[in-house]
Amino acid sequence: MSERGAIEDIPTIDRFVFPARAHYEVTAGYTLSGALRALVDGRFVGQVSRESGRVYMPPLGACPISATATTEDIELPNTGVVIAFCVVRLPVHGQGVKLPFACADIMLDGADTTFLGLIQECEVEDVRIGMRVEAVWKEAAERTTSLASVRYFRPLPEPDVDIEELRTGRQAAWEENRA
Amino acid sequence: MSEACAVIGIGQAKMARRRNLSIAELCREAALRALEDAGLEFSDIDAIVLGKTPDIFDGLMMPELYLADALGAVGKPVMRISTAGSVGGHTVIQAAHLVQAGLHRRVLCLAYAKESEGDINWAVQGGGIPFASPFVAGPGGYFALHIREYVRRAGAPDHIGDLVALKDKQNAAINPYSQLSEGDITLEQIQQSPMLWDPVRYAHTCPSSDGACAMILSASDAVDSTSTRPAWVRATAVRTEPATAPWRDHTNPLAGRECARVIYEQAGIRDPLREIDCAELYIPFSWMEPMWLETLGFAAANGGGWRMIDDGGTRPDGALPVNMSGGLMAGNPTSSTGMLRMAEAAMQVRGQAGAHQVDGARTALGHAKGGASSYVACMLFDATRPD
Repeated sequence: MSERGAIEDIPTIDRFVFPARAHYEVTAGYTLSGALRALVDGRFVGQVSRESGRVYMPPLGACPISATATTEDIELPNTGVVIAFCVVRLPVHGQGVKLPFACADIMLDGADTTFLGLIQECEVEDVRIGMRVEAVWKEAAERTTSLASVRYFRPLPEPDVDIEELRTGRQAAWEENRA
Repeated sequence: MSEACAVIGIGQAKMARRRNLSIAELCREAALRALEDAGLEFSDIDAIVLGKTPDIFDGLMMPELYLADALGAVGKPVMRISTAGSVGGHTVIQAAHLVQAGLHRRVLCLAYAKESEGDINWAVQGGGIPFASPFVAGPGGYFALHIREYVRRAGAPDHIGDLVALKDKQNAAINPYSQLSEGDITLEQIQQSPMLWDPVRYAHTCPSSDGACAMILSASDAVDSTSTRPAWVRATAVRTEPATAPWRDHTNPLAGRECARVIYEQAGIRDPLREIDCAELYIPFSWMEPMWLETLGFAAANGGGWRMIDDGGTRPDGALPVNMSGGLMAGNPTSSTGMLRMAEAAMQVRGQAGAHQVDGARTALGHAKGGASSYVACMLFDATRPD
């Protein structure tokens, strides 16, 4: 009899595929529903906090600065700024984008938070922090209640923005947004 | 704060793909070593705190129930802590607080991960959530943005990430629990490794590991100083900030700065670089070392961190040895990763760190972070019992 833990006469199984499926429904809630429906129309809708003046895109339903709920929608433009980015050169399952590609934190004009966007229509070497970009939407029939309705962002022929100046400049808007 | 509290036992499981062990066996390996180190039996333990990242990482729900037998927890109070990668740090702090509050005299805390049984790269994507990114960048595709922002703001040269990776890989090679053993790697090899997420190269990233870490915390009246060198808990801090806060500073997170401020205030530390002998920090990508040196007050913001590294300040013979164990370059069993940072800091002040012992270390900092560097836990250990 062999030593315990050393059973050798069974086949080695390194990996097996178990086709499990987890079906679930997500209730997006009052705040996010508005923003997701707007994506179907090819529009960005965030929310503004009347307590702190901050503008949230995507809207979260709450403002961590003032610790109050946000209930007021605010329409935002198609244009924004690259706050940070990286160039992805690693293939990952489910990627669906040709490598290499630039992935960026994008702050829409008039917003104070960012979301991840894909940068296309330029070489990855040409992407810069502070670069002005605009959203390119899918055709109306292809758009859904998902950020995938935005095909990608592309550079605008405009001068770069200084991030520190942009941040300082937002303070006046916060004052104005306070009820 | 109340009861003085000390670490009197530490146990680690070897980090690797441990396909020959169940999760319970992996955890027990660390727990038994911690008990042996403390000269105790399971029957001497009053309560158990288990730290685990989200269940989706390795697909086992409510492991604190399944592991009750393996950890000698039957009939005892058990608490589960769950945050993100930082969870091991939070777990030790919770155990310390149970002792400091006078609720229990001896607490065993443990954190584990068995990533070989799951698909962590898939789990951390968090896909399918409304407003989630419609494309997949991979695990470094989130942090590389913050690293690039640091490089821009601090004017850091390209080789800083390489220097940190080289130091940590050399340190990991003398850590007996390390998964990787790449002590012979050269700076050139690191610089030629594939670029995954500019500016993060393959050699700048940590591995995915199975592993476990256990620590035993004791009230002062249950510390037998003659048989066990205690590591006294001098300060603890936990802070969390919303990853989505407006204009959040990702490269120098508020939660990290606040943890440092609280720790130094509790311990009466004015000049952390001079008063702390070594630090074990949560650095999954080598480029985070300069960022956290600045966040934790060891170097001036916006460039002090990379200059300190460039001058060799964080090497084993530097002004502040950082990641003596090799840090995450030795292995990243996600839940235990945070606890391993605390364990290494405690081992240093106990003089227990073997080949990676810093001579004369009496005060050491452990740091764990998780999520979008938005969960932070810090502990300061001391060889001397605080007043």
